[in-house]
Amino acid sequence: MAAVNMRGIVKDFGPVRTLFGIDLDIADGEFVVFVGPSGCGKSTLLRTIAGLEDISAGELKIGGVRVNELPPVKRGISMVFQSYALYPHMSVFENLAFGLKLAGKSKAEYTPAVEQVAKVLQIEALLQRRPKDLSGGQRQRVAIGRSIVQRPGVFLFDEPLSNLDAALRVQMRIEIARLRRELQTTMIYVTHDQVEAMTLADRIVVLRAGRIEQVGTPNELYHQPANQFVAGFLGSPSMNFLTGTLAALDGQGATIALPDGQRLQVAVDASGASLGDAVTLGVRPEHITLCDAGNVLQAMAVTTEHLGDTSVLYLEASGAEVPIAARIPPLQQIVPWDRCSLCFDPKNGHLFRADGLSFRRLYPTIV
Amino acid sequence: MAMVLDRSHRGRIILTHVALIALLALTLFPFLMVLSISLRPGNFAAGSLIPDTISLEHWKLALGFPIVDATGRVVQPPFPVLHWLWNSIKIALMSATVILLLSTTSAYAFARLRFRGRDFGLNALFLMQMFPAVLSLIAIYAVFDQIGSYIPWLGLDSHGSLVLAYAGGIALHIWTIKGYYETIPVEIEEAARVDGASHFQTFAYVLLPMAVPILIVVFLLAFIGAIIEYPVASVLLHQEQNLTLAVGSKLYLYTQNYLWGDFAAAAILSGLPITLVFVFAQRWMVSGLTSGGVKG
Repeated sequence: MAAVNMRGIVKDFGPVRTLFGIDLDIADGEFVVFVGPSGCGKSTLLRTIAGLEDISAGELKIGGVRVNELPPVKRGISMVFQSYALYPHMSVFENLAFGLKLAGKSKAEYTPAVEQVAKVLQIEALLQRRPKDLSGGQRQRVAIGRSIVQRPGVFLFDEPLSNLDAALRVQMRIEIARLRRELQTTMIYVTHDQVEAMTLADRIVVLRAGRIEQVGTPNELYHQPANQFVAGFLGSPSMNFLTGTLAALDGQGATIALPDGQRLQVAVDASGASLGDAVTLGVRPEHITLCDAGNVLQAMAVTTEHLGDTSVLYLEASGAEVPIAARIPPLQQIVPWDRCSLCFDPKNGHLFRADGLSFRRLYPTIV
Repeated sequence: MAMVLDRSHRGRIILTHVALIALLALTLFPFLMVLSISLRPGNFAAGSLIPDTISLEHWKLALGFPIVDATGRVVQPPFPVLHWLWNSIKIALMSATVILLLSTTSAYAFARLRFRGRDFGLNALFLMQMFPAVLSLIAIYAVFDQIGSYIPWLGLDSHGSLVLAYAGGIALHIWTIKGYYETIPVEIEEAARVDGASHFQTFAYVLLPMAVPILIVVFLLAFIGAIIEYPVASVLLHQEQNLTLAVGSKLYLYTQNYLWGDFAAAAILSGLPITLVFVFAQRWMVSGLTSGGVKG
């Protein structure tokens, strides 16, 4: 168990800078998920914590001790790799025992530890097999077991489930959540899957291009995104964005004029802005309904995706670069190229300045 | 499981077999010729492939037994063929071992460690290897002559000198092994580092066991190379007792008298260790040692 503190972590690969001064404090026992698009530096950050990449500048502390100069094994961490990275020439037992053996423990010392971990992960029956004789899910369990057996202070997971099929991924996600409750250890988890991020994390760190965009609980990030990038990154289908100009301001919020003259209201505190400013309105697909009274937006249907429990309607709207999405009840038939009236509650709207930062929402769903 | 086959498939199989048999016949013919010469009475290079009478005189001489010739004279074996064979095996085993030790470790450095001059070193090794060893024979002679005045067991006419000379030709082996190392996912080594392994432990416990098939191949190539090598050995070794079989068998072919039969028997003997080592090594040359470690 250990806290992780990062101060101004910078990583350069030759002339290319991939991390631009990361400041982050992870509490003891916390489950933190790094998310972000490909190439945002989330894996690099994890590898600098692991000690697989050296830190170009800044300070990294694990358990209160500066570890910049320590090799991985002395940092009290263990890591689960995306590709499992099992030792193919060793049995499952030897895979699990390898680190303990290197630490100079005798067979009598490490055998009970290995067997206990195998029991927790339900791989006791596989101990004598080679990795090539295991299924993907079993290999992933062994990879997780290999890190548990070391009893680290911090677990590092580098996209551990991305090689599994969808059903197995759900199962392993639940398993990781269970392990986390049992082990009560600090965990840092890298993923590009926002469902994993939302379901597993105590706190999510959203990264973009080597910088932290926002840190917060899953709900904070979902309901109070700090900027347009975070708003668009979390949620599926992602938030709809409509560009326009600020047309009016009052105590109830702001009125936005779309390029074709339609006006929409959003309940945000836009007092810092002035009329005529370019702004972007954001609203999530699940907050849009088909109706023709209230805060109405006229748009043209493009296509409908029937997902079974719900349908997603895509429409072309003024001010939207890509078709906007609306979550509608299942089996509702919409003819393409029909004009539709959509509306949403101004309380559910978001508003972003031209530089991407959010205006404060007047009625955030959570406080 | 029966696969559905095209009707012309059968014809193609027959054609393929015919082609393969022709290829085999072509490859085996020289060997059968040598075998035939070694079993033919007298020393004649030409003659029918299947000898009219089979005589073991050449084999007896090669294996060190005296024979009685047609005139009733007892002929002692002219050369210590078995001793040469032993020299060859000894030198080949030693140089293959040295070559394997040097090339696995340097291939690891070239494949995984980042250091200044890495690319230059690799290319330089490769270029030097392209230079034919025969052209540097004089240099090799002079170098070992000098070395011998300081370290006698590495000087001219010593087996140590030959092993050292052969150990110089490892560039291709380094390239081969390096190529294999690079197919092993680097995450496996990173996992070992997280598990607490040093560079050397990663190399010895993780990388080497996975590379066994390619190491066997390199060992075999080095072994065969040393057994059949002629030019360098002929320059470095002088005394009859020190010669390798490849150099020694040439003594059967002096200008006045080409003892083809005796030469053929010695030639076949020199193929023996290669065959034995190959048969023994084959079971280690299984592929797929690395499968299953990472998601394919």
